[in-house]
Amino acid sequence: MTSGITLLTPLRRLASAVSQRRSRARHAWSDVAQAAREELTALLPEVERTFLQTTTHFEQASNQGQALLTNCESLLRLASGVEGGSDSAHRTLQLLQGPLAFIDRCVQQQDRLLGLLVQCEQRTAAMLDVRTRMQATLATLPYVSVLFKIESAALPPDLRESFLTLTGEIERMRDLVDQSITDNARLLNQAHATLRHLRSHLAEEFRRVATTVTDRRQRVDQAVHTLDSDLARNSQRDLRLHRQSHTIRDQIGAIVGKLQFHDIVHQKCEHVLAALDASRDPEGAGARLQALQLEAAARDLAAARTAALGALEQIHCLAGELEHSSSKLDDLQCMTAAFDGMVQMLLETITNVRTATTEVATLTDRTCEALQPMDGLAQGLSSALTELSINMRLIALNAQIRSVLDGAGTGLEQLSARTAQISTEVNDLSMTNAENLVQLGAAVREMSATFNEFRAHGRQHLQEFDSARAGSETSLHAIRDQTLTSFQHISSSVDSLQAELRSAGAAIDSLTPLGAQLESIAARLHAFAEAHPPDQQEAEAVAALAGTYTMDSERSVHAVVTGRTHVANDEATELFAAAEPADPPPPDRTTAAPVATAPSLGANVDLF
Amino acid sequence: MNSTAGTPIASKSVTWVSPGDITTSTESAVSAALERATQGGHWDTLEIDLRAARLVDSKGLNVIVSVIRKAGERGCRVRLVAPQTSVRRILAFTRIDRHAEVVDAGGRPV
Repeated sequence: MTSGITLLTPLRRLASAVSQRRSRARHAWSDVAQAAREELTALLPEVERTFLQTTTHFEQASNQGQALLTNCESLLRLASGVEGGSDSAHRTLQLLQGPLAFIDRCVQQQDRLLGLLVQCEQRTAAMLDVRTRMQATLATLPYVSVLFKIESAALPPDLRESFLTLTGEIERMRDLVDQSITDNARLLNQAHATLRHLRSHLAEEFRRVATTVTDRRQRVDQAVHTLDSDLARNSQRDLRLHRQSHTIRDQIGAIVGKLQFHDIVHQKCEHVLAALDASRDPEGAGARLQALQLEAAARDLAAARTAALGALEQIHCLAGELEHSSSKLDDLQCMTAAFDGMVQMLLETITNVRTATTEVATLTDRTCEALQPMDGLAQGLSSALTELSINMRLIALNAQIRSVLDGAGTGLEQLSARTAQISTEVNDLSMTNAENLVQLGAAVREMSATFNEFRAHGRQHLQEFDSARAGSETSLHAIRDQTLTSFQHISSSVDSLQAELRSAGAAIDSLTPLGAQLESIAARLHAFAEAHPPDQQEAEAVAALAGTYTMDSERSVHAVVTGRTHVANDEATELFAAAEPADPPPPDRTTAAPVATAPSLGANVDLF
Repeated sequence: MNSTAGTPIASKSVTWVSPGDITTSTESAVSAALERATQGGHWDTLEIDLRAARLVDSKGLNVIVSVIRKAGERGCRVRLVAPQTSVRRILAFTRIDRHAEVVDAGGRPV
């Protein structure tokens, strides 16, 4: 009995010690598990909050990316002329058509008008020659007058008086002719000089206007040709800006689509919580398994952070490049906004054609004014010469009658004959002059008619041009303003996107402490596991957890702990959200650990 | 060395300071002011101080392009001084910066 009692006592003590040890272990596990549960329970809302914050920023960034894409496409349409540019250009061309045709007509008439001016100059030169010849013819009149006085001196007083009257008329006529010829010579010289100046001025102005208009027309034709060919070409091209904006939008969309860390970490932590709840007894292997699962979750967070920050940096750079591309548009002739673009060229052409039309109209005005006195000159000179011719004939006739009646056989007869000869010469010169005057008048009237027509058409075109010009200019400015606005929207969108990316980066950065917290919990579980080596019973319980895992990565960790072979899911990527848990459903931490069943295919979750 | 606003002097540089935005509503006044600033005298560089301009629209650009062209025709150049970021972007976008110098307030190319 004594030996039995003696034997039982150590056994009782051993049992008591084992019991005490188990009790201490249970208490220790209870403390560790409780602390882990509390921390995890508090951490999960933080993960969710961070996830929501991050996704909100990414959704904003995604919206900005979409806006950027829209603005880039709008800019490309505007800058290439696809939107509005073509219509405005053709409207402007229509506006320019009238004045350009008018200037063309004026320039086409240039040779004929200059020919008429040459004719006028020739006529005035001929009339100046007539004047010289007239002066030569009339130069003898003073001598005729003196000789009449001498020859009639021997006649009776009444007869002498009649010859004196005759000589008086001759002298008066000579004075009249001198005056008339002098006056008209001055006017003729003036007219001649005016015509010469007009001819040279018109030739120069027509040449200048023609050069301007030809240059402008070539530039307009070139611009329209470029517009049409660019419109066709650009629609086939994958422009850099277009590619960049699509890339940015797609990359943001890809991040948003793949940013699943919340679900992954949440479910992993939920599984750990459920396992901790189910584990009443201290389990070194179980603690190690949960520690490894938490470490895996921490790595998931770190990987999510690293990948997201890397992607953010890449998008940030792309946005900067896109802004640069939008400001250069190197692979696109920015015809609506560029210094040498179509809109600027058309605006300048409107101004130039308006100036050219005004100049031609002013030129025609001045030419009409210069030609007007020419007609008067022709009339005045013609009247003076006709009067001279008639008077000279009358004087000659009078002298002949008087000499026949009173001075037969005297020198008076010869003087009368000479007077008649002078009269005939004056008449011939007058006729020549009249012919010159008729031709001058005809040429002047033809020119005046042409210039008056130019003037009327010029004024009409200017009036029509001015009334339509404002609309065309407004339309061109509107296109350019829209292009500038679209460009500025891109800058604003890039600024907003980059600000949103910075906020998203800051939100993602807040994952770091959460991951550290998971690692801290895991470290405490590891410490417990090291102090409590697993036994056979526990190993079986841990093995039974395999069926509770819904993610490939969880099963992989489980395999490490149990020493079993893990067969990875064949599917390279399967989003966690779409993955079905193994049968039975994922453990709820409020319920007991589920019974292990056949392994599920689960999902191989790749964050990025 | 620059002259005072709008007064060309022997330094061959004339400066015009934009009082604000160059847009549809100020286009005529700016155009007239630039015309006055560049009338007479001998100058080879026109400096347009843009620091007060926050906005340049299509009509404003027309004024600037016109001034650059006129200066070019007489063998002179235009320097656009201290444009704000938004205006500088527009100058680059419209390629005006390829036809006129764009410098900061210290005269350094931007």
